[in-house]
Formats: sequence, structure tokens, C-alpha cells
Amino acid sequence: MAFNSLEFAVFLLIVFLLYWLAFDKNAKSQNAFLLIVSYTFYALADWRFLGLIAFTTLCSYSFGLEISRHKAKSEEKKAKSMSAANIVINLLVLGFFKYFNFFVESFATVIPGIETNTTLLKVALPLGISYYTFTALSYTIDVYKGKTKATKDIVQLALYISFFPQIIAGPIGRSTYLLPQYAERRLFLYKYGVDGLRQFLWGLFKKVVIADHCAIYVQAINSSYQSQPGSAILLAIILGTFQIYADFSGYSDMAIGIARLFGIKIRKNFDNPFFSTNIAEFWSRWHISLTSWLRDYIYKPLMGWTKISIIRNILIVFIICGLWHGANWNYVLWGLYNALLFALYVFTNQWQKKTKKNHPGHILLTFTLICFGFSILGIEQSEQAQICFQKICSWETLSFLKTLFFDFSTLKRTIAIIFMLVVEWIHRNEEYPFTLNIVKNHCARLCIYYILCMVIIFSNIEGQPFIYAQF
Amino acid sequence: MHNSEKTHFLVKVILAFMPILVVLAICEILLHHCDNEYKYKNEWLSQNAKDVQVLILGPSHTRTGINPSYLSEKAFNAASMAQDFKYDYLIFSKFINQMESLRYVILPVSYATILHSLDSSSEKGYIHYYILEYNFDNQPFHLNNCFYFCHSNSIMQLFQNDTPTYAKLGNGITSTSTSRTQGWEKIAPATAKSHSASFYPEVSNKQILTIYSQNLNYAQQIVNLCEERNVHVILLTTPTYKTYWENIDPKQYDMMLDFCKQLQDEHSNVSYLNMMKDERFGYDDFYDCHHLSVDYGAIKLSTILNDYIMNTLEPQRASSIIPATETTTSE
Repeated sequence: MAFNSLEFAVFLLIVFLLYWLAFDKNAKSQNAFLLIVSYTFYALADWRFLGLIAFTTLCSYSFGLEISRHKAKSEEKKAKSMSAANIVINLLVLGFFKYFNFFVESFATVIPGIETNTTLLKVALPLGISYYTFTALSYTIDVYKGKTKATKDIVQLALYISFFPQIIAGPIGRSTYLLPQYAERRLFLYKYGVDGLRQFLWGLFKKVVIADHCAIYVQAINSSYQSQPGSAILLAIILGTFQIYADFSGYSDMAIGIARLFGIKIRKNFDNPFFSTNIAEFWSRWHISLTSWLRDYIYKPLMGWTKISIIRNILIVFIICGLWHGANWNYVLWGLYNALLFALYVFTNQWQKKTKKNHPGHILLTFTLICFGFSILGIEQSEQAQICFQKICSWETLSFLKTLFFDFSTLKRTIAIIFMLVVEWIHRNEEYPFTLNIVKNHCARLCIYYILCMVIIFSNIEGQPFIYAQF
Repeated sequence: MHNSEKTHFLVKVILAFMPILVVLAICEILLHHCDNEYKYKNEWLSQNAKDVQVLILGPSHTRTGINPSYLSEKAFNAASMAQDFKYDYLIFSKFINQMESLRYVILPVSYATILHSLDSSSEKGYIHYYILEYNFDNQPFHLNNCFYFCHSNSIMQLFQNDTPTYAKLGNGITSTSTSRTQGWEKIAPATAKSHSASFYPEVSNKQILTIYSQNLNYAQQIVNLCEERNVHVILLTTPTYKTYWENIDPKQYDMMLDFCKQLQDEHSNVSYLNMMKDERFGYDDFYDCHHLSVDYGAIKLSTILNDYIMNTLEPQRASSIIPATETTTSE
């Protein structure tokens, strides 16, 4: 049940009314109800792996309590081994379901003479496993570090791991931020309701109007790159980058909006990443819930100040970041590419220089590098990269500007993208990317909502799943 | 405070959503009155099923690839975009009892369609037409499929001109050799790969085999219904361009041959025409690497099929039918 379906709208309406009208007595009843709803939501998408979420929850719950018990007795070693055991179990589960096929295939390719049994391969990928595993890991690591208290309320923890707006495609939850919210009874506030609906509307607009329409162009060019001119390939690379952004940030906005409707606050996952002036800034604004997770739980513990240790840490973090996105060599290559850019940025001491904020040249250069990075993800063969590169290097490529503004369907996409960037730029200092605080007139605001709704209804494209739900 | 805010919010939301609901209701009513290919085919078959002698089923390969007006017997093309064996069976079983004159069913079996299931494909946006127009009520329930406005291919009808995309006998008419994309033959290898199950590592072997056996099961049910009524089934693999068939997965190709062989072995009323690599079809006969152009390729294929029916199948059937008088005598 995708967020952009009529079924979800009905589901959300029923859940919303029941939550606030029938299960509003205290935090326990609110949590129990949301947990049932979350498990139902997941089961409707793929019931086969419901047990796996329950297993992850039970592991986190029991290990969390054990770690806490040992810490209370000052048994640091035992607490550490418990924490390590929990990490290993979670990573084994994630590794088996997400990376088994990849490693077996890669192993068979590298070592000649070894044939893989094709029936052994193709382990099905549980929906949202990368998200809820990282969410669960964050809890036990935080308990070990003493940043959060181990909860004795299993319903609360289960909800933290499986809260339905987040479970399929994040944002990845952090126990320090979310568990205290689940511990308290949520009260309905008119402002929260309006904020929630507004974020949902904005996310839906980005998904349906921008991401899905860019996807049509990108897929068409990707499947026929041999017969396409360089300008079309370049345009597909640019639109592909916006597609990924609008798709994923759209999902995040919708998840944040839905959570807000239930009185739960989730931190924003994107912060105008395309206005970054360098690669480090980009990664602090893109998929914040993942990058902050990697920073806090991998980069910081590895911390070192020698050049070699910095390079090693950057490599480790970005390869994990790449692999987290997909069990595929393209993602590893993408991770390495970003690691290289990051390392170059650090070692040319750019981070020490004060770059002029919002410098157009720097923004354009960063955006170009980002686009090139995302284009790696769409490459299926080295021959494809070679052909596309050759075509892009031709003079004809310059005519892409003509396509951008004079081809009607591309122009529509361009206008929608510009509108999105302008709106998000205006709201760059706000809590949410779409608050319309600058529009003071109530009727004008209502008109903007209606226009967005109409554009969504009349540009509805079906059958386009969320890209990040595949991770 | 808490409760009054809830009431205030709910009242405002209901009022704010009213205009949107009204727009959606108007769109839905307008779309119900719009013509579409599925509505036309359902109505045509409801009124003329008893006269149909040749029924063409299948996806776009036969929708654009066979022009019924080039067949000597009264034919109708009930094929539609991305229509799989399940929907072929549902359409066929809906009208079979009315089809008193039916003699031949043309059932396409292609490299791509043996592993195609509309219900789980990216083209599932067509499913609502079968529910809303053909009234197939045994589908898994999806709210989106109960309304036209949830589907872009429906809602776009409100903004498009009324130029029909199908002929009176149900065949597609827009895929002409002049309207095709330049360089279509170069993308054939990529298209062939995208039609191969091995191209999708996320799809398990079990899923592939499940779809294959479901499709075979539906094809068998169609053949069974035909056998009961002495109707001959022509399994047809439509022509594809050289650059397409040179890049297919041989294992999947063998699966396609096995699919047809099994149907032929189990039933006496089945013949198979594999024209996938047929050299009679050249560059101009194709709209793209796996679809024929309606102005050249479809005419050629329809003529070949007609010859096959009239010159090969008809004499065979005539000789195999025992005259009624003989049957009576022997009894």
C-alpha cells in the first residue's frame, strides 16, 4: 500500500479517526494501537517477513535490558559483549537477506571453476530491512553508550522499530529522539494536524508530479541510450538526479507529515542538498538520518587524526553507505566515488577555507559532481558508460538547453523542478520544507493547496514504486 | 482544548476537501461516459459474439499485429495492451457460450508473455479496465481499481482528442511504420534483455516458475474450453526483428517452446506457428523490435495466417470431421 494510493488515503483516514477518537486515553493505548496498525500496514505490503521484524524487536528488547543490567552492575565487558552480539545478529540477518546473493555471485565470478546453484541464489529481500535494522541498532548502541535508557515496555520499542510511516523507506529512527515521544501521551493540536497534512501534500507533489514524470524520461533514455543523442543522455542524468531526490525526499516528507498527524515529530531528512557548495555540505544535507547514523555509529568510533586513518574512515563509511543502498557493484563504485570526492575535499584543505555561502559557481560544480555520481547507479555495463560518455562529449550535447525549454513535456518537468527548488529555498530556514508562512492571506494559501491538489490529480502516474523502498 | 481542537480540525478538513471530492466525482462521471477500447470490445462481443468465427486474444503483439479484416472468416481482435493469459481466459470464458460460430482462437505465446503477469507488472494500470468494463469481479480487491480517476491512462482521456486508436474489428491502428521512433532497431538488445527474467535478479526462480505455471494453466483452460466445442487453437509467436531475437536468453526461449509443446501434446486441437525469426518480415514490417507495423507487418502476418487457416487447417479439419450420417449409422 503505497502512500500515493487511494487505498492508503482511506487507511490513513480510518487510522487517524480511531487513534484520536478511540485510543486516545493514554500513551499505552496509543502505542498499542499504532503498533497493530504498523504491523497491519507491513503485512499488507509483505506479510512473509513480519516475523523478522518481531525477531529484530525481541533481540533489541532483550539485549537492551541485558546491556542495561550489566551497566548498572558496572560490568562493562559483559555489556560490551552483549552490545557486540546484538550488532552481529542484526548484521547477520541484514547480510543474509540483503547481501547473500551479491556475495555468492561475486565470489563465483572472482574464483573460476565455482558454479553457483541458481536455486540457492535469489533470497527475497524483506521490505524496509535496511531501515528497521539501523533503527533497531541505534537503540541498543545508545543503551550501551548510556545515551538512552533501556525500555521495559516492549510495545513502545516495537513501535519505535516498526512505526508505519517510517518502516518502508525511513527516515531511520533515533532512539534518543523518538522513544521519549512514545513514552508520553500525544495530545492533538490543530497546528500539528495542519502541518502534517501540508507536509504530506508537498511530499505527494514531489513524488507524483516531479519524480514519476522524470522517471518516464529517464527510463525511456536509459533503455534506448544507443540511439539517443548526447543532449538527451545529459538531460536524463540531470532529471535522474532530481527524480531520486523528489522520490526519496517526497517519501520522507510524507512520512514526516503522517507522523505529525499522530502527534509524533520526525526530524527532516533532507535540507536543500542541491544548494550545497561542496561535497561535505551535500552529505550533511542529503538523507540526514542515514548520514548522521553513519557519522555517529561508524565514523566517530573509528576516529583518527592521521591522514591514513582519515582516508580509511572515509572509505569505510562511504563503502558502507553505498552497500546500504544496494547489494550491487554500482553502489560500491558510487560509494568509492563519493569517498574520493570527500577525501579530495578534506586533503586540499577546502574545509578550512571559508567558502562564500551560496556561491553559484560552487553550487553548480557540486551539483555536476553529484549528478555524475548518481549516473553511476544507472549503468548496467561498462560499454554503456563508454557510449554515453562519448555522446555527452560531443558538441551536440549543448543543444540540451534547447530541449530543456523548447520541448513541451520537458519544459513542464523543468517548471515543476524550478518550482520545487524555489519553494524549498524559501523555506530553507523553516522546520519543514513547506509551511507557506510567507503567504499571510488565508485564501491565497488555500488556493495554493488546491492548485497543488489539482496538479497531483491530473498528473497522476501509477505503477511507480518509491525508489528508496527498494533499499 | 484538546477535544475542541480535534473537532475544529476535522470540520475544517472536511470543508477543505469538499471541492476536491466534487472535482473527483465530476471526473469519475465524465470518465464513465468516455469511450475506451475495453468498453468497445466488451460491448461489441456482447452484441456480436454469436457471429465470430475467429477470435484473436493476447497482448499488443496481436493487437497491432493481426488485422481481422484480412481474414476470410469473420474475426474479432480482443487483444489489448499487456493483456496476459489470465485476462485472455477471463474474456474468453465470459463470451464462449455466446460464440456459436467460433472455429478458431488465435492465442499468442511470446518470449516475453510466458513470464508476464499483468497483476504484478508495471502495467497493472490497465487492470481497472477489466474490472470496470468487462465486470470481472473475481479480482483481488484494490480500491484504486474501482475508480477511473486513480489511473493516469484514464484521466488523460479527458484531455485527449477523440481520434480512435483501434479499428472496428478491435485491432490497433496507430503503430504505423511512419510513426515509429528513429533508431528503434538499435535498442532491440536492451529490449530483449528487459524481456528476460534473468535481467531481474530481485525476482526469484520460484516466482518465475509460479508465473509460468499460472500462465500455462490459463492457456490450458482456454484450450480445454475450445476442445469441448471443437474449436481449433492456433498458438502464435509473432515475428520479432533480428536484433531482438539475437539477444534473447536461450533458456527462456526453450521455456516458450516447452509451453507450446505441452499444450500441443495434451490437446489435439492445437497447432503452433513460431514466426519469431521469420525472414519474410523485414525492416518496414516492424513498428519496433517486437511489434509489427499496422500498415505493412500486420497485413503480411494476417495474410499468412489466413492462408494457413484456409489452406492448411481447413482441409485438415474437413477431412477429420466424421459426417453426421456416418456417426448415426455406426450407432
